[in-house]
Amino acid sequence: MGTWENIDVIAKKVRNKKLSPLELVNKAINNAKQAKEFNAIISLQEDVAMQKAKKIDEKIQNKKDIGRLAGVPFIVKDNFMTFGSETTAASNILKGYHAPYQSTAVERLESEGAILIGKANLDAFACGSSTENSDFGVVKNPHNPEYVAGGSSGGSAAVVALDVVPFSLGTDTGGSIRLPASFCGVVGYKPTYGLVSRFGVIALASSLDVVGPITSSVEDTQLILDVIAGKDGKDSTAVDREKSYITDEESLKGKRVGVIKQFMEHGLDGEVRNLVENKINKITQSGAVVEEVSLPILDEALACYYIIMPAELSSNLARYDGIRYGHSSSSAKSINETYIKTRNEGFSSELKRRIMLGTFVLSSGYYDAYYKKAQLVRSKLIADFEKTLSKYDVLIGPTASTTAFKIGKNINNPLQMYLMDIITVAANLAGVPAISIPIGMSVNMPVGMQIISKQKEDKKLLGIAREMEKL
Amino acid sequence: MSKITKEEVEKLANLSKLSLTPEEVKLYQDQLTEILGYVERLSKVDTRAVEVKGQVTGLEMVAREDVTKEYSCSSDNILSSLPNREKRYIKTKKVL
Repeated sequence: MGTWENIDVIAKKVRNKKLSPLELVNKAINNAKQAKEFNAIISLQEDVAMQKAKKIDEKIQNKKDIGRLAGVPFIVKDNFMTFGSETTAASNILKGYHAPYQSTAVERLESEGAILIGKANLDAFACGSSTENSDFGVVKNPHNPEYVAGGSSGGSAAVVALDVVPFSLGTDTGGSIRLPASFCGVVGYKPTYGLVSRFGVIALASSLDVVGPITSSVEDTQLILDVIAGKDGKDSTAVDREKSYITDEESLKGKRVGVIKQFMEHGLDGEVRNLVENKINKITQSGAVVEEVSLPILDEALACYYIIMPAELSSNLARYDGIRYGHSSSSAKSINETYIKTRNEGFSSELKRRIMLGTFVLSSGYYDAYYKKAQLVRSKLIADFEKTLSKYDVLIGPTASTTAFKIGKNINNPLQMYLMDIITVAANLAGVPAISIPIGMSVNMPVGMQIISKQKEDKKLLGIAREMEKL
Repeated sequence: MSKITKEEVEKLANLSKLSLTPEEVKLYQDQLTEILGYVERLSKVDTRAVEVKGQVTGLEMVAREDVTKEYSCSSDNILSSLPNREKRYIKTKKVL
């Protein structure tokens, strides 16, 4: 299996006719077929991708503008609506669904000449931390197929780690890009809330969902973000983008770096701690002012998340009723039975659990004690994060408290599985950008470090992450 | 909080348009009780001085001009996703 050069190098070679788009698509498709045992991909679009490659080739011959990502193959999580294949969200309820429109993020990548070759596996509706909740089977970790790839963007992280494609897109609601990136040893980036349009992305929890890239380097992440960021008029939560996200490494000299105390607790694995502390030493040696910082509200982040997320999910999944799209039960005898049977046949047990949890916290009598309280705690968390981040350039800590776990280990214990997100959920609740970069291996499994900055400081964060990645 | 009752799980399933087997009711009864027991820790957080933030990045009243726009997605495209249809109509079981 061949490896890929940096994305801008590949695109440059295509422009200079040193590489052909057809060659690149062929390579990606072959890689995908070789990596089949990892179950990272739900569908491949070989013919469509080849046609697109031919079109770009013609443009090159005719000296037409081909875009900044011309010929670069990519894969997106199967909760992005795309033309030319099914969009399933890895759920039986959407099997066979062909989206009538395309997501903005995919549209923007394609308009710069990137070529979509397939859709990545995920936990159904992005609900999970291990991609074991997929109705299309579990994704296996590229470093050891007996272990999980992390979730919910497990397929998107695995295809980059397996060198199938140079980059992929995922979504992150409570860590779904960063956790699998950490478990698979790649770079996973959750931008500021609203920086990338979610138009055409199947919703999980609308106040938390973001779209972001998974790549092999921070430099590649900068380029992809630069292409996909910004308003499209179709997502009312969109925020203004910066003119460019392409920057060099930002020197760490004099930078104020806070190591989050609460992230270094939570049953942090000893070897993960060693690797993070090792990195912290190098950051200190590079001239940064490193301090421990305590944010006690973080101890409540997971509880807050597991009220807000299911509440929003139960509302968002109410639309799957067997009437307008996807699966519809054939044995229903009344309209009410159509709803119930369709949802029963289409939703896995994890989705049923979360839908009922969300319905519970939103029901009268419990609303104030759960949902309203969670909103108050979230508001406190946003304020405390803002206050702390005003004193530091970035905050750091591990991405997860352990490396990838064995397939099946947590599947019968939902609360134990939910605890995997304990370090990542805070960035979603606070709307701040966060990136996971690989920092080494513990017993042959990758470990990631998380870097967090203020809302809308994505550019600075990526510059600092580039420097930290080098150390 | 005390254990969620079997009746409560059944009511939640009904509100969520799901139906559960007796085994599932028992399973969710235990699991929901455990999860809600964990999230209940929020009741101890002092939020008296907290101002509720309506939107995480501080956006308020986002609106667009009330004008129609051409859209690339045709109604035929949308109709083609319907699981059951007759001509250009959605077909369902009897409602009333």
